[in-house]
Amino acid sequence: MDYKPQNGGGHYPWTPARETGRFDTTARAQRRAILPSDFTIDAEELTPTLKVRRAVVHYRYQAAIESIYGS
Amino acid sequence: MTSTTDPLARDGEVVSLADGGRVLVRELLASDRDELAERYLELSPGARRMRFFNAPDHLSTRLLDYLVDVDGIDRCALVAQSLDDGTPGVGIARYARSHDDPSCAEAAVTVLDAHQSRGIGSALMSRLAEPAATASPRSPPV
Repeated sequence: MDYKPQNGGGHYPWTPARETGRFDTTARAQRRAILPSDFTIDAEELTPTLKVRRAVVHYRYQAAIESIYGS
Repeated sequence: MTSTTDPLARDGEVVSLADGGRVLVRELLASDRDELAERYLELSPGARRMRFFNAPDHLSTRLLDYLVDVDGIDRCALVAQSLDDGTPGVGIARYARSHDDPSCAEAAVTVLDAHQSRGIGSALMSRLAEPAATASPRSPPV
């Protein structure tokens, strides 16, 4: 199946302590990105029971992921 | 875990759990929509992540519409209601057939954190297998 990688949205500073402060530092998301659209079943980003297809998301939005975690 | 012929079973099946509790297992109804949204808020982040592989703060209108849109054939959902403590819904299980291969289906089950390890998930999943196996799926796409 051919999944086209997409650049997605922008990212913005985020204070993680409020939402993930109870997790260990290594388990906290340090940044997050706003993608251009919601995940959908039709786009095969979600399974029929609405689970996220991580491999598809990682591949399709690799540019967005690398832009916030790549350096 | 046993089933009984309790009069409450007219709307589903009363299941006695190993810990002595009882739940009513019945089909999900469109009228369960609001409760589904409320119960989701009671799930721990870990339980949300186990179910959806992410942990949204709430179920959006679109997701709720999809989750209650069941037909008993291609998309089927069963809910468990506690008959002991008045908690309306303590668990839900569903399957959705594959679009490409209707003989295959994906299943998902969620039980409120406080009711986990009571056998509710097993009760739901075992009963979900019957309609999955017996309901006639639509023809696969050409």
